[in-house]
Amino acid sequence: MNLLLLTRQLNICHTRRFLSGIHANRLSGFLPKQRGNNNFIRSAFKVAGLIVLVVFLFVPSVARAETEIFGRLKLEGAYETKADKMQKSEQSIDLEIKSYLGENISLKALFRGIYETRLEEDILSEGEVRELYADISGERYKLRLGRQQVVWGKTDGLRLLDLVNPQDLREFILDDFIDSRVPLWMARGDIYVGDDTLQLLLIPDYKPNDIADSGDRFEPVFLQAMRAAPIPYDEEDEPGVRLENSEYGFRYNGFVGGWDYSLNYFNSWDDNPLYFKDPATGGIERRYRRYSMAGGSFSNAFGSLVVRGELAYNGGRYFSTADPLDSDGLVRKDEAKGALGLDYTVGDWLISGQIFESCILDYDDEIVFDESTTNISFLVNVKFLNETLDVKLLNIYGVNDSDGMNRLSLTYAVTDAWKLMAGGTVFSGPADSFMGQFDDADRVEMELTYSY
Amino acid sequence: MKKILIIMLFLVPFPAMADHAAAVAAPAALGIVKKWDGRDKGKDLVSKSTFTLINKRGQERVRKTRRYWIDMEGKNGLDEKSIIFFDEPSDVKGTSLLNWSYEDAEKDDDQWLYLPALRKIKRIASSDKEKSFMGSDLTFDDMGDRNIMEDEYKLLGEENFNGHGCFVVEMTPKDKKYMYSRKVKWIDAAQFIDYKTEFYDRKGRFLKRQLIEWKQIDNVWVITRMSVKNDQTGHSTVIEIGDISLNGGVKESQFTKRKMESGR
Repeated sequence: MNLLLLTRQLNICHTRRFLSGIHANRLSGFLPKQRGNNNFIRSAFKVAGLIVLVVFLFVPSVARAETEIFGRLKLEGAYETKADKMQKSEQSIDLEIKSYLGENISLKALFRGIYETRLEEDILSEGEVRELYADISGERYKLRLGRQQVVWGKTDGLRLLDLVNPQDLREFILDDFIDSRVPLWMARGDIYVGDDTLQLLLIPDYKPNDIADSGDRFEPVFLQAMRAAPIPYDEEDEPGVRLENSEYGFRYNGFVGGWDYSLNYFNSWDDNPLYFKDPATGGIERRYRRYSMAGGSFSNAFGSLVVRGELAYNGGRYFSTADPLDSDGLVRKDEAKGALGLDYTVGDWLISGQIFESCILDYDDEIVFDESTTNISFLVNVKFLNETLDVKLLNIYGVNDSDGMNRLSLTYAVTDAWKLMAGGTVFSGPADSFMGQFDDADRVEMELTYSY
Repeated sequence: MKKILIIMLFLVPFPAMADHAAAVAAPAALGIVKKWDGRDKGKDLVSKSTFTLINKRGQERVRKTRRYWIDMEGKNGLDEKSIIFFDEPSDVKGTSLLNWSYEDAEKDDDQWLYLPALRKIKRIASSDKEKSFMGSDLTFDDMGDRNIMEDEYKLLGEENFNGHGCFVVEMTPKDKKYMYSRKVKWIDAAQFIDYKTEFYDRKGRFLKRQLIEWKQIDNVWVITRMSVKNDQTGHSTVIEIGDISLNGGVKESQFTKRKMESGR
């Protein structure tokens, strides 16, 4: 495979990107990771987390704090219809603890244990601290320190402004956001200005999007090609945990004339590492680059209709080019993105549609991505039997490549604690398109959840 | 009491005027409804509710909520604000619903829903009052969001209900597409609180019956129990309301989006 073809492969998902690109990967098994001093600092985070955990366990009994404990047990299975075999078997348990140490200080922890079979021979057991933070609040502010998730934006499913946390895409975009969002260690400050809120973020903890490992069912096509290519490959260390490497940003949330709005700015590392050509070796080098996003969102209700939208301007993103004169295979351009969503509610029916548009500015014909990309999503959600039966039909359609994903789910609340979900997912489209690459991965799904 | 009797003289048609009942009944009934709707509800209220939803096989589901309410007395055109936190079952714990309603009857409420699973506050359409409230047999309209100017009223008569003298008022929606063809409400003739409501579906068939129990706190009547039985589905709902704190000085900052996220 020549380098140009490989470069195109690398950018397949960038071209069809829903999730601000998907071509980031730790490339497990490709090359050993070299993280420098990150391990030390992350260990420090873990020690800090351990201290908070100890506080959780002992301080409440001493301070007689109000503590809430709850969680869920979830059994998930997916059967791949074309291959006639199990695609997923996962059991997970969540334990969530909230402790209120008086009026102004609270602690929260969310622990998760997972036992998963991804491939017949690949059994994975892992424990994870999903969230661990302390809230210190006053009449006009709140400070949240620790491992957490921050959600921006008004759109559902597809992310424009919602860039703060990276995403676990090992199961493509099939996992719930609550499960797929990767929490980060960060400091978040909320300052209240009347009813409005100014949120400030400082994130020293960088992590890229998590992509499927080699051989996993949802390993992107471009990665399969790259892993198989007999070319030299090198990877730069992930950005170290240092103050100057921190991601930072703000969001101002307001309300005027019936409109909710936000103004957002985020300066960050691209969650997708970039693959540069190395003219010296003829190989590929993975590097990390920063960019900044400025944008905003809005929403309002008109009768039974909710209108919502987002706008984002990304300054200084890198795009692959086929220009033979370009030494590293990447050009730096700005891009503009917009989304508009409409939600129509009638009784227990919700009908929702969204359109997403992204455009590379000052476009160059040699860029291997499309100049503009359009995606559409459509959702019907109905509740029956006094909200015990929940039916959802979701369709995502990529206009550029005529690729799509359809999901149907029926969730029945057997009791307050037990819920049973049955459903299915069907992919369609060309083999080199974002969703069409998994055309053979159609599946039926079952999920049993116990909440306690 | 004297005052109420005098008001009643104006509100209730005299027998001698029976021939003109159609002409007199409508404004009299509207006067009763206005007094029912405009009764003193206090300045602010905090309460906890337990919703027991019972299907026709007798299986129960339980939802627990905390509700904060404040009378905005026209500040910035606002009539009232409320915020409801969902505490049980655990899969909806942390969900909250914020509502701002306006004095201008033509203006829809502003409403937001916080979903902890998404870590996101969503703007939702408040005009759709026909939506079931938490899967119960009550809709948002039944929970008290309906503007009285959306119905026409007729006084059907007076009846004794559990020892209380009541006006029986028929309520017919001006919008003929509304989910009910009519409602009949039993309103206490002295206190202007309602004890019973019967609902009829679009085709005029009996749909469900709502019964309400009240208690008086600091001269303000507050609901302590509500039950609804849907005759068509066999499903029923019982709402027990306790830990009531009236006029305790709830701050306006309680009714903000940041409070929705905090869950308290």
